[in-house]
Amino acid sequence: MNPIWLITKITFKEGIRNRILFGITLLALLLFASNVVLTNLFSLEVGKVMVDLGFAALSLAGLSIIFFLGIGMLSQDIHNKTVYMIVGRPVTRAQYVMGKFGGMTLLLFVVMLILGFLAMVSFGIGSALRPGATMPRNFSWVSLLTTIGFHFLSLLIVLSVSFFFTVISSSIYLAMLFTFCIYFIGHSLETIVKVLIKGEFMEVSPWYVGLMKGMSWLFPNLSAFDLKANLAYGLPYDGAYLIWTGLYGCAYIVIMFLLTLVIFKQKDLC
Amino acid sequence: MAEILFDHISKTFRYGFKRQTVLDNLTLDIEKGEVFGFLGPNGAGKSTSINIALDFIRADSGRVLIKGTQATDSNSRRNIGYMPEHPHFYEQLTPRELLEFGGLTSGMTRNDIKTQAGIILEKLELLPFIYRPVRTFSKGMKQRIGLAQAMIHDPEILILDEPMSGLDPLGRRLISRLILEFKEAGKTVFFSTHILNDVEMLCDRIGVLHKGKLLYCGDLQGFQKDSNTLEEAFVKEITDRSTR
Ligand SMILES: Nc1ncnc2c1ncn2[C@@H]1O[C@H](COP(=O)(O)OP(=O)(O)OP(=O)(O)O)[C@@H](O)[C@H]1O
Ligand SMILES: [Mg+2]
Repeated sequence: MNPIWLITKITFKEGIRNRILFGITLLALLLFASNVVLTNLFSLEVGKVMVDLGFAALSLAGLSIIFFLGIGMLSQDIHNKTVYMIVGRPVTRAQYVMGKFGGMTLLLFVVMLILGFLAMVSFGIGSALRPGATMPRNFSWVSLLTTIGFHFLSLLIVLSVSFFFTVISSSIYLAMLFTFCIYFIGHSLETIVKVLIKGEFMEVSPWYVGLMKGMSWLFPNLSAFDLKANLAYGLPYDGAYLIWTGLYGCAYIVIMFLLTLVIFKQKDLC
Repeated sequence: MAEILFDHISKTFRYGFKRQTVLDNLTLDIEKGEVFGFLGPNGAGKSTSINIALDFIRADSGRVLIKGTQATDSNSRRNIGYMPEHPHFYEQLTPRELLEFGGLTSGMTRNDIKTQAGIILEKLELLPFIYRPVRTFSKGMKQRIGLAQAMIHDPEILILDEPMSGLDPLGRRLISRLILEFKEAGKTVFFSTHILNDVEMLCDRIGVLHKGKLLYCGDLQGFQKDSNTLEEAFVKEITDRSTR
């Protein structure tokens, strides 16, 4: 059997049985419960509130999984030498990293699936309790799934970044810190660029704006994957934009992954 | 052809600007069918050598051949069963799942794994615990799981880094017995240890490492010479070298 798949499987099993995951799920459930209550407090734009809260819970759960389970398990593997159990067998380092990435992806996918379903249920209950509340304008399952899909892709980018930093840094805390910084920059850089371009009271050289724009794509431009606004306000989705953003996301993951691999292949595991 | 050949291995670790030569031109071969004991004081470089043979660490120069295959080729590990100095496992998995992973990655079928695991777990007296996650195991029990996953695919070569550490006398005897059984089947065992009693009981040949250099390689009698015990000879040899 393919070693990559075998490693994916044990990574998934190890993760899904972890108590941390239990905690994360519980937290998300609490958020959904508060979703039901909170939507009752707003008289306007119930749809937007529901979408925002639902995705906040998904984000929180996804990021916690990456930070605590993903970085935690990978750095434990390396620093406690649990990797020996895997690479001591006829398994290459590339297969190991791919298997780990696969396992974490599967874990994220399953958790998103379950939480996504629960989010729906909480929307359902929320709107049933409130007569007159409607789904967001132009709501369709396709648009919801697209939004969730792109959200998932942005999580995978963060995951690939976290793998990279876990492999190059000697400490789990550094890996968390670096990954968090990239996540933060990736979310805010585009906003900064927008302010620079549209700011009427600022004179900024086009050269500088260009540089910032470039940076916002070099650091992963995570806000590009955020389609919540389209969903909440019923705005149309632009097909070309989706395709290019999707390709950009996949390319980013592949490049991060290759960098991780090159470094991990040369690393002394001791 | 040697089963395991260390061919002029050197390795230097760097700490900031300082460098420490951990292995200095180590050449050593382990023959088929022998039990080879790897001795040396703490920090001599035993684990480092073993880690290079399993490609966890890359040597600065030289190469290791396992049955003629370079250790840097993952296929070389098809013939090896390896147990680390401090075995760590995925804590949420059960022994059964760990052995299944080990067997499948080594190319066994599920059926073979089932029968083989039954035999090994029985020998290591682990059968009552196979449905419990490893996180609930004591150190000695983890050590035994380590040995079980090293032996699951019935390898031709066993490489064990201090297999006896952390075991009670019964456990030690159990492992000694397994090593001898392994040898009787015509297989090769290469292990590092500090317990000289076991060395006297088990080993055909020994290698003594000190500060990354091989001081001695050969049979026990040759090393012991006129000392009464192996321990005496070992202490004498190392202190001689250190004070010189
Ligand atoms: N990851 C590492 N980074 C830097 N130096 C290391 C590393 N691992 C080991 N060393 C150094 O390499 C030397 C040899 O270590 P090694 O673990 O091979 O010794 P050993 O013979 O197995 O000792 P012991 O009997 O205590 O297990 C030691 O001086 C140690 O300080
Ligand atoms: Mg050691």
